[in-house]
Amino acid sequence: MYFDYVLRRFLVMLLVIFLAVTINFALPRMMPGDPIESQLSQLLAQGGGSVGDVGAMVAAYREKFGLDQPVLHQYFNYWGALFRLDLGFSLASYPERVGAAILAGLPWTLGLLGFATLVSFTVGTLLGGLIAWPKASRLWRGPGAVVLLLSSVPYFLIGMVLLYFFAVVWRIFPAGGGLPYGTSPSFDWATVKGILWHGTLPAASIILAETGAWAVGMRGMLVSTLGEDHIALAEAKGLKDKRIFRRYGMRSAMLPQLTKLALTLGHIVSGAILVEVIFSYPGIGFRLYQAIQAKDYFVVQGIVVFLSISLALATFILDLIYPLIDPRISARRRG
Amino acid sequence: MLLDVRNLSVEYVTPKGPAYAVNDVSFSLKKGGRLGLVGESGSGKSTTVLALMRLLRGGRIEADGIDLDGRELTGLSDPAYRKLRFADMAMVPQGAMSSLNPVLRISEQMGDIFDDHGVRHGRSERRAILGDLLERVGLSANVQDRYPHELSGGMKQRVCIAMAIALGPDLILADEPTSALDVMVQKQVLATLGRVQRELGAGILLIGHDMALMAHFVDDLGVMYAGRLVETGPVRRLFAKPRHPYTKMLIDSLPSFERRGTFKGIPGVGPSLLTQLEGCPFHPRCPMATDICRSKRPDPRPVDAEEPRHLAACHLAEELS
Repeated sequence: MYFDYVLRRFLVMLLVIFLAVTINFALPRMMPGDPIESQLSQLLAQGGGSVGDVGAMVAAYREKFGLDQPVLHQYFNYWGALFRLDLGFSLASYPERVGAAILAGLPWTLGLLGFATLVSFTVGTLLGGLIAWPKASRLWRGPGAVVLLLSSVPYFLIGMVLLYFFAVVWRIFPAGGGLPYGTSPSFDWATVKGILWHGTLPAASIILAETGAWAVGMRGMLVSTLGEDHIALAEAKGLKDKRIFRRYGMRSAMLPQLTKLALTLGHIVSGAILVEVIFSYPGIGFRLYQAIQAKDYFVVQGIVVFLSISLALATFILDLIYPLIDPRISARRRG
Repeated sequence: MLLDVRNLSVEYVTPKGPAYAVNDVSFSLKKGGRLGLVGESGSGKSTTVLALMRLLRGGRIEADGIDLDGRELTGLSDPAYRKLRFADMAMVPQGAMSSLNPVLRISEQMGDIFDDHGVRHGRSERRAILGDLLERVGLSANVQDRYPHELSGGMKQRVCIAMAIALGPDLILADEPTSALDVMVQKQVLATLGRVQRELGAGILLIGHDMALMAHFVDDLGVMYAGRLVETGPVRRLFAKPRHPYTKMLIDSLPSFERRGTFKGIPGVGPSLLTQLEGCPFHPRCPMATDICRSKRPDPRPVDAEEPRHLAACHLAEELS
């Protein structure tokens, strides 16, 4: 039964990836204009000077990138390259490979957003639960109100405010980058310190903005869960308040939060482009932003494919663990 | 006496002023006895039970005394009350379909009762005890490994009964335990409830609105109207010689094989709980009402020379035939 379910979920994931890759392949080719020509004409306009045979150059580049072949052929080549994890070259900073560009940015983004998301999920969920639980101390309402208020402010705005005060006015934290200028990462204490130092403001702006959203979601879910009959019976059974809160309240109310967490984690790779831009943080978001500005199609395409696949994978993993936390899921699929 | 309730009142504070959900309700139940409370929706039956469990949300409880097994409960602290729930006074809930937590196994939901009342078992001992409880209510022992959504409504209600008897309470409060079930299952579940109650020697307070179902189950019956107990007494006496017009009209509204024709209902609706009606609360709907009914509130009094426990709150009880 569980195997059937896993197989079905797996096939759905493959379908999603197939569609995402196909659309990602088709879209740029449906756009008017030719990336090679526009790139070359841009170069020529900037460089001026010696104009050789443009037509020959375009043909040469087309051949190099395989754009002279029939579309179907290109499509299969695209898949083949994808299986070899080859996403092609960056147009803007040739001969850097797209894969290498993504890999260089990935740890920064995963570290920053993974940390910030997990912290805001944990704090927000707990706080939301404590605000909703009538028997919790009223002292929780203070921080609760603060995060709820902050959740209505966009995170990039919080980021800019933090940047202004902590980096410009008080000069406590650096204004941007992932490491002190001119250093390269190595496995020593200075690197760790540098990463933490530079990560504090971006992480803080995400945490401040997101915690409230988690708290709001949890509060709403717990309030409606607490109104359910099984909570009344749990009370009637003479159970201790702590157990009713954790086991009967939080555990049931948590399920939508966990779904949201998995989806958010799937998104974190792309999640905070604006924060990365504001703090010039060397993650994937910042790279995507730069690639869009530079019309670096292959990098944009590569990052988008990468994001689609990671989201599909995250959803699949969520589907795998969901029956373990909500027994009703697998049964419904079975029927 | 197992349970003795004297002048229990429950009042809710609402934006429109106080709502009187239960007014001066007094009744008692002997050890192993069965008492039923009937009445229409909003008559205060469920509120009475929840007040006894001290599980009301927001309502204010007042009582001259609630005596359970010689123990006065009115002044008891909340932590002490928690320990008393299910250990001394258990409850079978109304909504069997939704009263079990959907994401916990039956064994966890039953085991919690032991854990939080300080009863410790080894793993296999706990399994055996839960299995035994489930078998006593007519379920198989391995139902404990199931989740609620894998059980039928009747099975869920049986699980609730098994939970109620887990700690061997002296009193079981059953709040319309069968109203969510279909008629066939109703009878079976009620029979099970009756059997385990008898085996346990516990008293039971059964809430319902089905007079016929009630008549087969309880020894004593109380009829509630507008938060008041208008008539109490042994169920046979009550059915044979109702001494309150409301009780009489309730009984007359039951379908029967002897009488054919249209059903007789009770015209009108119950009064708002926000206003304390002057006189008898039933007088606007009562076909016999006179001036005294409109001005003076009747208190429950003995109305049957042969049966001193038969009480009715009606000025005209003797005129009723």
